[in-house]
Amino acid sequence: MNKILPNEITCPKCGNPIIEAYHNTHRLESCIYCGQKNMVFAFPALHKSTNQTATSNPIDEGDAACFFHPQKKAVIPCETCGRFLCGLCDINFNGKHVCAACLESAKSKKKDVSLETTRTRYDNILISLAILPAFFVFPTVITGPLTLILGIYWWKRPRGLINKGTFSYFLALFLATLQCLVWLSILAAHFYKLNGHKI
Amino acid sequence: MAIKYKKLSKGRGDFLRGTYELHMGDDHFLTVSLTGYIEKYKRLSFDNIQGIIIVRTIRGRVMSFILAGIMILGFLPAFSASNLGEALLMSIMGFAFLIFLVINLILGPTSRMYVKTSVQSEHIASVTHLRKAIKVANKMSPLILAAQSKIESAPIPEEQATL
Repeated sequence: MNKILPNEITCPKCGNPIIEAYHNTHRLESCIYCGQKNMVFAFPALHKSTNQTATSNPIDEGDAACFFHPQKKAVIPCETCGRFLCGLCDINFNGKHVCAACLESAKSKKKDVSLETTRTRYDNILISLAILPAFFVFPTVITGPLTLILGIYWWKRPRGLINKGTFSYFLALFLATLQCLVWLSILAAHFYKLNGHKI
Repeated sequence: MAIKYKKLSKGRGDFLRGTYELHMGDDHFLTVSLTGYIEKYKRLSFDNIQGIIIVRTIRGRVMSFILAGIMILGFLPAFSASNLGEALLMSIMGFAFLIFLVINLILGPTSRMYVKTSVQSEHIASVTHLRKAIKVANKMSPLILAAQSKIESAPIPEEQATL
């Protein structure tokens, strides 16, 4: 994989920098090194001064110290736990100043949606469980009720962040109910027949 | 509070391995990739985006050749047919691939799109065609520029400026 250079846009094919004259031309330009045709949209962050990084000052007598770095001067308290933080420990997250520990805790407890990186699509599992075994008919004896049970068990679990999959969730439950009803009616007919009745 | 997103693109990726989407939030872009039953999210803050790179690929052209080849093979059995009805029936596969070929030609040249930050170059798998990529980049650019309007620029290195 090509190395990411912080202040240069590189050609994805050869990894060499794409010259500045080819930025924001709004047409495909050939890379001068490999000839690959690229179109580049460059933004001010590309030339962002590297000295704009967070700094922290050493502590003076009478100053509040950072909770994580006692030798550094505190500049702001964490808005969640109230610990004093130095410039290095201060994380600006969604407009709030928080410490790394609170951010990690929020992530593990799934308190903030904007920290989530994965979600299980239960609706997709259920729809697969309801449809795929139906091609082989007999497995639906087990998968039909299983889909219903799982559908009820997962009812309150969070769905996809963007695609909620409500339609497929309900479709899976409907198909599973239908499969259960079909098997129950077959079973009922069988017992009815066993008792000497004619269908 | 739920974040409101606006969909920018949706696609199956280069090799139809999953479903990919690109959404636009208040201060970031969200890429969603669904492979199997797990949905993965990546957020790209407007402030951190240094550039968008669109790379033209030959995948579309290769696909056209493959589809044209299969289409010709699909039409071959029709030549041995004795009447028109039989010929039409035997060339169904050819017609199906003709439709795929036309769709591929209408969609136009293919590309790969990358969003570059100072630490990563994120491939946007939901955008696979050049026209769509330019359209999406044109939608993204004003938002990124607005978010970065207050950034202090560093002087361009001499070596880079002379190139």
